[in-house]
Amino acid sequence: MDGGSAGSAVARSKWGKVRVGSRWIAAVPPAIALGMVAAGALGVVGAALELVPEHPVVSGIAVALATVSPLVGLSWVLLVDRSTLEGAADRPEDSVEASWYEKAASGAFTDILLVTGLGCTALAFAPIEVEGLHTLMAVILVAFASFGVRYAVQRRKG
Amino acid sequence: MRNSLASLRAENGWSQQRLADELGVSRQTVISIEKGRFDPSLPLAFRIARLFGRRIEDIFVPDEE
Repeated sequence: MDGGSAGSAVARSKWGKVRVGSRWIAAVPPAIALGMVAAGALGVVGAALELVPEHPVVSGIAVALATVSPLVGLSWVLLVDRSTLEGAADRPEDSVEASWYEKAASGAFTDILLVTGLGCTALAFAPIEVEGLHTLMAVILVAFASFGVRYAVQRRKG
Repeated sequence: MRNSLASLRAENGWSQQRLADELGVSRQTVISIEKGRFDPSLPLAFRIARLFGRRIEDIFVPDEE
């Protein structure tokens, strides 16, 4: 029943590490590299789509610059082994925070079903048109808000 | 579920952080278990029992008993 973890064998650091073959390296450099490559690819796509027809190259550069920071952050989140972060628990699945997360996620899922169901019913009768993009953004916001509030309530309860 | 984790920890002179490190969980987990607000998983209960050299039922008692 006792599982091992990378964090118990590898020295921990503030920004964590990533496993490459049998070696462990700092997670930040590959995250920056991957984020920049992904942003560059999006920039090429942006230029190819000619978002600003008069200046396709400039629009591509703008897309790359606008997305590089979040993509570097996302790359770090996807790459880093969480057990190599400073202060990480060796067995996070047994911690109370995992229980809070599970309850919050479960409740948020129910909330999303309820809100989207009521929304669909209301829109079926209301004489208004709603854009798909706005609807999806609203669903995401409801999900974030529901999860955040429910997690905070669980945390407050202890 | 009631438990005697706080007294066992005190007998050993351990802080909540020390016990959390020994068990591989967060300090908040130890706090929540001691207050009876969080029932540990079976693997964690076994680790707690092994750590203090007791049986699980010596440490954790269902509310109805």
